[in-house]
Amino acid sequence: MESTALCFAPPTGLPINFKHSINPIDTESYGVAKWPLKFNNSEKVSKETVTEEREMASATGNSIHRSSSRPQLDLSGAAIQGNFEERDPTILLPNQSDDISHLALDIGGSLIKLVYFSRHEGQAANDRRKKSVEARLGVSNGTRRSYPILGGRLHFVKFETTKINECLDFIYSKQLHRGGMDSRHWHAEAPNNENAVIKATGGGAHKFADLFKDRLGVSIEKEDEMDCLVAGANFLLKAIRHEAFTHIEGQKEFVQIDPNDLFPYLLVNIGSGVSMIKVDDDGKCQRVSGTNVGGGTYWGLGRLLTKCKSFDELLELSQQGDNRTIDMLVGDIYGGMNYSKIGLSASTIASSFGKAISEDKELEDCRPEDISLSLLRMISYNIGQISYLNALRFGLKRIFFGGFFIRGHAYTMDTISFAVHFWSKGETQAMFLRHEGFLGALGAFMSYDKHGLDDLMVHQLVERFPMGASYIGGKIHGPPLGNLNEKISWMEKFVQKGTEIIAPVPMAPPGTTGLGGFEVPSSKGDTLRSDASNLNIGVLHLVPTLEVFPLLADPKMYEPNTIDLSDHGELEYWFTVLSEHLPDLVDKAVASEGGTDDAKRRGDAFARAFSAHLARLMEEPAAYGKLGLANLLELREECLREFNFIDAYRTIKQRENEASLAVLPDLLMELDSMSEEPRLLTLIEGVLAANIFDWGSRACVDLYHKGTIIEIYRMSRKKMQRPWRVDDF
Amino acid sequence: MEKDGIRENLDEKDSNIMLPKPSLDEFSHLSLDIGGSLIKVVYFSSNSNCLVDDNGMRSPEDSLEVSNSNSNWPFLSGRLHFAKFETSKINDCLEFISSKQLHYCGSRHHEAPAGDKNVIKATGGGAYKFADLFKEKLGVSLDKVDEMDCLVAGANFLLKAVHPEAFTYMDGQKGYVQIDHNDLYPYLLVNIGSGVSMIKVDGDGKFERVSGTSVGGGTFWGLGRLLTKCKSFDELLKLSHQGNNRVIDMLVGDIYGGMDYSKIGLSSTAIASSFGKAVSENKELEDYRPEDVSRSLLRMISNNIGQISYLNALRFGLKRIFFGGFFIRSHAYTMDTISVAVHFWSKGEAKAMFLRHEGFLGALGAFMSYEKHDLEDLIAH
Repeated sequence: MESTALCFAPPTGLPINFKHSINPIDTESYGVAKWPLKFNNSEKVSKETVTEEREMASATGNSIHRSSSRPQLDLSGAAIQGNFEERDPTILLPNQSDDISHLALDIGGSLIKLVYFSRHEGQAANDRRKKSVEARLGVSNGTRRSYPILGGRLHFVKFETTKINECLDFIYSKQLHRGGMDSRHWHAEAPNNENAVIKATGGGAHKFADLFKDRLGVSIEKEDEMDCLVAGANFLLKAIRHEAFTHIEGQKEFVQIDPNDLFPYLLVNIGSGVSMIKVDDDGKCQRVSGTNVGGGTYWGLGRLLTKCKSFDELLELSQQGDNRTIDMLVGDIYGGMNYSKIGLSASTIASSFGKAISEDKELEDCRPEDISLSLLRMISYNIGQISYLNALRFGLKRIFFGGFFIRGHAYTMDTISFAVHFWSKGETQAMFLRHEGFLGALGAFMSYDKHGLDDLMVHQLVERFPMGASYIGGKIHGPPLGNLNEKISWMEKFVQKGTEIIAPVPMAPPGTTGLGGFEVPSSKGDTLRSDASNLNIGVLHLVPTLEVFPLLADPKMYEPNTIDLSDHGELEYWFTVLSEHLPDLVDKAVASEGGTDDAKRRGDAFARAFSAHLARLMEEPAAYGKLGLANLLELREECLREFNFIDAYRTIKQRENEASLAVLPDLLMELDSMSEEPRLLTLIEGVLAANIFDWGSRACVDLYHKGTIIEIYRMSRKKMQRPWRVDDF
Repeated sequence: MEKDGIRENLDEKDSNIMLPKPSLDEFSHLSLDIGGSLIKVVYFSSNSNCLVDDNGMRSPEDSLEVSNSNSNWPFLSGRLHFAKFETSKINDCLEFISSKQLHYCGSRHHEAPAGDKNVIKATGGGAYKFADLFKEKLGVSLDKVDEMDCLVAGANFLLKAVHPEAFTYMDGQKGYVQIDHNDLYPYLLVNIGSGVSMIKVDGDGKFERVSGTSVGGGTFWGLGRLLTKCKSFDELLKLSHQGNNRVIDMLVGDIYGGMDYSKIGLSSTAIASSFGKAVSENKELEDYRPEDVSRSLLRMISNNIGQISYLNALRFGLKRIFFGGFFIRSHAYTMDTISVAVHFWSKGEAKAMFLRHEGFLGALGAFMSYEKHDLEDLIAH
């Protein structure tokens, strides 16, 4: 029975430990399927073959485009797999990109949130077939209860619900709905139909089910909204190191949550409306309250009053607003005085929009900016107040706010925090989540029986911020980027466009590497960018092989950053260092890839991307979570890898290795001939010299421009005359 | 002020309170509650008709219309009159006082009745703001009385002395509630003026402002004006009668394709997001009926006040919540919405109650603060 479950004939050298016997099958020995294939939907069809049916498609040897409203599969090279005598043999689509295994959606009233998981790209990026087979094997050996977890990436993307077609196009072009069917292997009891199933939550999961069926041929499996929100929040709070933060008077501070001391808490999800959920444990929650005055109210009323075209435009307007022209303050009623007896200061809002009652003021006389701010304040404050009252009622100390209303908007968070602080007299704290908008979608994702993330540890998840996805907060503009080349083109355009929107970005790329003269901004741009306070969310990399360094006394308390960049002086210093070093790094990177035109173009893209990251971080140091020097260096490495620079120092390493190996025998002999004490000292000096080489400081870079590590070693030893500054030898 | 509107609700509204006191023509008081939107006036007169000479006053005085229409009540020897003005039309109010010579009424009670030493008890923020204006125009000083003190004193007086004063309102049904004097406290008093104050009342003069919200009557009127171009609060309120909030509000059913979200007890007609439907791109403000806008706004604000009130009542274990203040205006739908909110969130355990003299708590309280109003030991009968 298991053998029929195999959809693919794995090539030799399986990377995965496979339980069942597999007969490697040469695809060449089987014929090409005839078109059209007959589908057998009778009850007799085994559960296994159901999956296979989905693999099947109307195919000849070449790509066949069905009606444009239908999903199009890349059927080139399609071949039947498995025993030919089976009624519904599996068809291999070797060119179908299916390294994606799951897709989950949260279709809300205003926005569609999408979370999908992709396998790590195989080493041989060009060998698509191998890659696809690997990926499929990773999840398709369905009868195994504990199938192996492969590393992969969790992506976060959002669309406006009114533009659902863009979302469908995106899913289609990335073939995400095809990946979703992997779930079928895990649902042995899944209903017998020919369609793939995607997990989805939110009201739209009901509303748009038919549309998904029509356009993508997939069924939507609806997951309960509350359950999803809670599952998503629990996952985030446990799995991501710097997920929760407080936001008070413009100051963002990340809070480390102990996963063992998370419950109970109040989860306030602010979407179109607001839900307040008391969370007691994994999967144990209760919606205790809510309010109909939420994000939809802000946007709806805001649209009617200001003619803004989008939620973000309205939000941006508020940044230039002054609510005092619209709101009636205590001071307005008391002739500028406080009502101190009951603790109300003159600037307290007595009545939202209360000043708009005066007869000489029409809608046209009110600045849209002021209206937007007044509205934002009213709604945020109200949510904060009701949330606090509910937290109080159930004795909950922590309130987490999520949902797409917040959007990392500083004023919103400040207002909510203020309300909670004010009413609780400082006893309760409002906390926010970096992935605020994706709770539901993540929860839907978690509802796949075996998403493989059940027992994941914090240390196995690494968040990266590749260009294109995270930099703009998970929002997709334009078509999805299929490959590196598209990404580079997009990047070039993006950065070009960005110069208009984004304050400091790298200027014209001069010099051989295509970049230089990047000026580190010393102060914030004059105008606030629309997403100035936005938190960026990256792609979550799941690396199951990562383990905590066993010698750490307390892994939970371990902080890899020795330099905290929340100190502005430090920040500026390191940004200058990294920026100045960038052209040289690009040189090295390009050289490491043979200095080809392609490498130069990639190098250029890398420089732009990293500079844009730097500029972003300079403006908003906490944009990617808590920022330390180690994160910054890691970001740079990841950025290099993003543009396919596996190791920028490869050529140097090669050169150094060759030079070192040549002198190694002599060096060893020299060491052997020494007596105990000088030998130890020499070794230590050697280690230090190597370390100096690794620093990558400007002086060291100059050194290895001139010579090899051996020369540095010799020179360093000369300079390292004792006593050293710290000398216990 | 819409005269019609008030006539309509006459027997539900701020009817005169007839006081079983010996006729004392010279014993009259005037007190004011000058809020952010409205000025509330309370004054006392003997049962003579000296005050019923309405010389084309722009502002209606409730006592004029109702004084003798209430046959339920015993013969009276004094009357408390209630009147209101928009704060922005404070000159009308000054004119009214001056024409009725009310500012002298107050003085008669005082020891130094010299014309320029008249003192009027006043509360509300405007008592500070407009003190100079009163001095200048009427030559009277405003003796400022604390707003919360007044609200509470006014409510306590009404709940004890006037019967029937408190009532519940559910599904269009008004039910008067008999309040036992000895079992009145503690209660939550929610005064909905421009803003909303929530006061926990533990006894006479014993209270604490425990909460409040800036989303109140001023918000309804302010936002409503901007959205509908209505000229007055009452006009806006009237509009809401004919409105249908489902045109603008996003209902649970709108999100769930007409279905309930029964798991968490939300019916398909529950409002998921006030004004949530207005986010659609193809509709502008002009495309919405003002009636619907008004209705939606009213529901949003009433519901919100009801919810926050209940949560505060719950917090302090208060079984009774009395709603007062000028926002309500005995408007059926407002009261209904507040009641439903309290009912919904408390799962039927708490009841919203309303006061017939809802708008005059502060002014009454200020009135009570005259040292010798002789109403203290009044017993309701």
